[in-house]
Amino acid sequence: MVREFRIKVDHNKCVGSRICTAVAPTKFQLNAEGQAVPTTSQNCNLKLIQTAAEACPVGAIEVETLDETKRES
Amino acid sequence: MTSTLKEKLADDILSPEAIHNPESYFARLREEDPIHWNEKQKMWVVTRYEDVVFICRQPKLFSSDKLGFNVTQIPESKRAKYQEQFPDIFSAYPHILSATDNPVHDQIRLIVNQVWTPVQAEKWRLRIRGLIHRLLDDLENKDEIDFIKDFTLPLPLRVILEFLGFAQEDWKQVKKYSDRWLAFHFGSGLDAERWHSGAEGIKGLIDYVQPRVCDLKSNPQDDYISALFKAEWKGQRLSDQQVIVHCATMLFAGHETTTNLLANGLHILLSNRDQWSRICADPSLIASAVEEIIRLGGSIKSMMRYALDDIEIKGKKIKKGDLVLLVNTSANRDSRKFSCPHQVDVARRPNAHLGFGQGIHICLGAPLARIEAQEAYLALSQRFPAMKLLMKDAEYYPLLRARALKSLPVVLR
Repeated sequence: MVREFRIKVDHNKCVGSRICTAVAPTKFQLNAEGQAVPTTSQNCNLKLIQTAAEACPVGAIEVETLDETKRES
Repeated sequence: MTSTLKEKLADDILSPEAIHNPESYFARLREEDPIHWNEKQKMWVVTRYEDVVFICRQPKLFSSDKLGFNVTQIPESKRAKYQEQFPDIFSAYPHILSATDNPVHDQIRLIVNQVWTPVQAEKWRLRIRGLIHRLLDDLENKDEIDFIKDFTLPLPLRVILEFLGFAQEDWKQVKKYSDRWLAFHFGSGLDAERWHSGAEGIKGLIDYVQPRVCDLKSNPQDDYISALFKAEWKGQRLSDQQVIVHCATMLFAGHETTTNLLANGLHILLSNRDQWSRICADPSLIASAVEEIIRLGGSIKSMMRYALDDIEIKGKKIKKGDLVLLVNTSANRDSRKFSCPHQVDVARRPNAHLGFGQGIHICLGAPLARIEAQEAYLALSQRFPAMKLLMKDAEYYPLLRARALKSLPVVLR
């Protein structure tokens, strides 16, 4: 099973605090402007991503579990 | 532009005109010389949005180490003497989040972040609402008030004291020590009075918080300080001293800025009556109104960094050790980022202002300040929609770093 999530970092809110890249270094990285971008949307450790979202000091990270799951081809 | 104009601008940063109307002063710098060497203040003044953001997001190049910077100003032969004379400053500053660089900053912040997030702050909304209505109940029978003395000064102090579990009656004592500390924190130089003031303020607040913090370590409760002791990041916890300094800093930093924000915000709203009427008629605009107020009337006018290495930005050669003033209040009116930047629009979205800073030093107390401001303007607009300013010209304290009104007389009905 491939579980898919929609992870969105709102760049109008993201201040480049780097909290998410410290909490979940394999799930977020910084772009050239120093703002966070998610590195994955599949089969990730959802709990870790939710922890990073909650730790974000400006609430810039949204995590949505997609209703549909699909089988690996 | 002529060099004469540049020099005039450089000399004017604390002039009555620049204090009264910083927008006009900084707008000229922003357009004509956005990374400007101010010869009088001996510092770079950065006024465009993109440059302020860039520097804030380069903590390896631009330091926030306040003690480190202060120490560089002391001649080497006198450093040991200062350390001996002001032990409280030297022992506290290496643990103050806003005044440290990495790795120390992240070590503290990531532990604090386990127990303090916007989600945690939200749990305080109803208690803050209650405090606001109790304060307004006391003002109900008065026609005219000084909004600062009667509301914006007591509210943030009461909130932060209640948040940390201290008695609200202690606010005068806390305010006295905070003011002493403030004179050191936002100043610079070797002036003995400044250092004595800082030492007295820091020692006063540390001595004030210490017994309660130590008691909570031995007898933990369901509260923020006990949670700080339990919080871990990669197996590390905060030391007793780190928790004590953190709590003292919260008392110091957690009220003055919100006092000024609440006052500046009401001044903006009542001076733009159409915008005040909009929030009175539609309370769902309160959240975006507060962001707009922070953009245009945030209490922190500028932030300080110093260069850890030589760096060239837009042709300007910043040298290692140079002071850099990041003028967030100017960046927040940069037309390259905001459409109609001088216009007050309580429904503005998006609104990526720099009122709480940017980068790793983003204001820790921002979630609490936002809630206080949202709840304050909600209560005021619902209870006193007819309130009016009783002054023609606003008067501000002549400060480089903060935007602080001296008074705000209003009539409630």
